[in-house]
Amino acid sequence: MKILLCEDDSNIAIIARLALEQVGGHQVTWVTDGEQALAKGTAENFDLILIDDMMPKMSGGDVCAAYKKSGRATGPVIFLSANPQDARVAEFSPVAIGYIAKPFDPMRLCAQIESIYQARSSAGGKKAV
Amino acid sequence: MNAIRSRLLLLSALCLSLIVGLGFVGFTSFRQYIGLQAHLAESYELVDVAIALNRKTIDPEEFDEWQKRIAGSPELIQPSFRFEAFKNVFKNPSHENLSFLLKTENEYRKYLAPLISYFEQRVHFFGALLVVASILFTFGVLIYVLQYLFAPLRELSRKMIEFLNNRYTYEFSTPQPTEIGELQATFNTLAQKVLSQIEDLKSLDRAKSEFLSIASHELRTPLTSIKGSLGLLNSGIMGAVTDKAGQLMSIALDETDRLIRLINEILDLAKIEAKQFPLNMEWTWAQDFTEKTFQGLRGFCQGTEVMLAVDDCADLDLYVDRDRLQQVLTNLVSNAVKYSPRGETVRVRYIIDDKQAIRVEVTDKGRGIAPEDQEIIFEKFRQAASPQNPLVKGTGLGLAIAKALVEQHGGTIGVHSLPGEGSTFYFTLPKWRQHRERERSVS
Repeated sequence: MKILLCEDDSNIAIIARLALEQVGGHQVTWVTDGEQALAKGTAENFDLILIDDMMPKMSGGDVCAAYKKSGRATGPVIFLSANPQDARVAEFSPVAIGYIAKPFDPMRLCAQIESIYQARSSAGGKKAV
Repeated sequence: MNAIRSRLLLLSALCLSLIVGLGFVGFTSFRQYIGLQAHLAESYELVDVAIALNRKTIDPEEFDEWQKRIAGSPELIQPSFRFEAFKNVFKNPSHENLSFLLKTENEYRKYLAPLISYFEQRVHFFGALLVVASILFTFGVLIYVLQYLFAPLRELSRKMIEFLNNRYTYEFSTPQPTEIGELQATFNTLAQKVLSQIEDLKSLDRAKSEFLSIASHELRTPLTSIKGSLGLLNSGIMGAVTDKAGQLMSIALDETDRLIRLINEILDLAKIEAKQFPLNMEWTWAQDFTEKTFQGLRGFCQGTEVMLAVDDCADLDLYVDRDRLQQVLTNLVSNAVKYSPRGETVRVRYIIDDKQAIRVEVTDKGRGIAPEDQEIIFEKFRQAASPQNPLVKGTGLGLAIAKALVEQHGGTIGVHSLPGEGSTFYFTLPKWRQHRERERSVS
C-alpha cells in the first residue's frame, strides 16, 4: 500500500515508518504537518493516510475537514491519537475510517490498519482496534 | 426609592381632598335646602293656624303653645313683617288681618321657591360629582396598582421562571426608578452573577478537559516512542538480539505496558470524575455481551489454566454503555483469573435481585480477601497484599474505575469473600428486560 504518514513527532514517525515499511512492506511518504498533509494528500493518490490528530497549526481533524471541503478524492484517513476519537471519526466520515490509539504496538500496527480497512469494506464500522 | 409608594400616596391625597371638598359643598347645600324646606313648612303651618284662629276652631292647647312662642321670641318668624302680621292675626283674627297674612306668606313662599330649587340642584349636582369622583378614584388607584405594580411583577416573575429554565432574556438598560425597578435591577445583577459563575464553571470545565487531553497526549507521546522502539528492537527485524538483551527488552516492554495501563487508568478515572465520560446507553444482549468480554480475555487467560464460564443468560437484555460495562466485567473477571488457582473456573452469573435490579456476580475459588481489605480494595491505588504471582502486578485503579462506572450506571458494586474460600464480586444494574430477539445488538 502507498501510505501518507503525517506525524509531527519525528521519533514516532521513524518508528511508524519502520513498522509500516519493515513489517508490512508498505511504501511510506512522511510529512511533518497538516499543511503538507493537505497538499500531498490532494496532489497524489494514497491508499491510506495516517494522521496524528494533535499537531500544532493544523490538527488531523482540520486536515480531514479540508479534504472534505476540497472535494478531491483522497485516500481514507486513519487517526493516530492519544485520545479516543470515535466522535471525531464519526464527524469526518466517510473520509475518516477509524483511529489507532497511541501508544501503538509497532508489530501490530499493520494488522490494526488491515482490520480497520476490512471493517470499513465489510460493515462500514469505525471501531478502534 | 419609594416612588410607587409616594405616587400612590399623592394620588390618594389628591382624590381624597377632592372628595372631601365636594362632600363639604354638597353637605352645606343640603343643610341650606333642609332649612328652607323647614321655613316653607312653617309658613304653611302659620297659615293653617291663622285660618283656625279666624274660624275659631283652634285647639286650646295649640293656642297656648303659639301664645308662648310669640311671647318668647319675636325672632321666631323671620322677617319681622311676617311676625307682625301673624301677631296681628293672633290678637285679632279678623278677615282683614288674615288676608294680609295670607298675602305676605304668599309672597314669602314665592321668594323661597327659587332658593329651594337652587339648593336642590346644588345637592344633586355635587352629589353626582361626589359619586363620579369616588368611582374615578377607585378606578384610578386600581389601574395604577395594576399598571405599575402587578404588570411589572408578573413580567419579572415570568422572566425569573425563564431564567430558571436556562433562558436569560432579561436585561434592563435603565430600570425604572421605582421599587419594582429596584427589584428588577437586583434580579438583573443576580442573574448576571449566576451567568458569570456558570461561565466560570464552564471555562473551568474546559480547562480541566483540556488539561486531561494535553496530559494524555504529553504522556502518551514519549511512551509511543519507547514502546515502538522496544517493540521493533525486540522483534528482531532491526537485527539479531541476544537472549540476554531480549530478556531485558521484554522487561522494559512489560514495564512500559504497565506504565501505559496505569496512565490510561488514571486518565479514565480522572475523566469519569470530571464527568467527561458520557455513557452511550443501549439495550445489550447479556449473553453476547458476556461472550465478547470472555473473548477479549482469551489472551489474558492463556497459560493460567483458568476456565471462564457463564450461567445461562440468553433471556436477558441489559441497558448499559456496552464498552464501559465491558471494562467493568473485564476488570472483575481478570482479577478473578489472577487470583484463581490453576484448573479452577471463574463463573459469571446474572441474578434478578429482589429489588428488581439485576445483579452480576463474578465468583472465583481464590484465596479470598481478608475482611479488613474488603473495604479498601475499591479505593484508588489500594490493593490487598499481593501474593507472589507476577500476574498480580496491577495499577490499583481497576476496581476504583469499575466502581465509578457502575455508579455512573446507577448501580452498586461490592464483594463477598471468606479468606480461603474464594470471593464473589458483584455489581447491580437498575435497568434490564426479557431478551428481545429482534433488537439483539450486534457489534
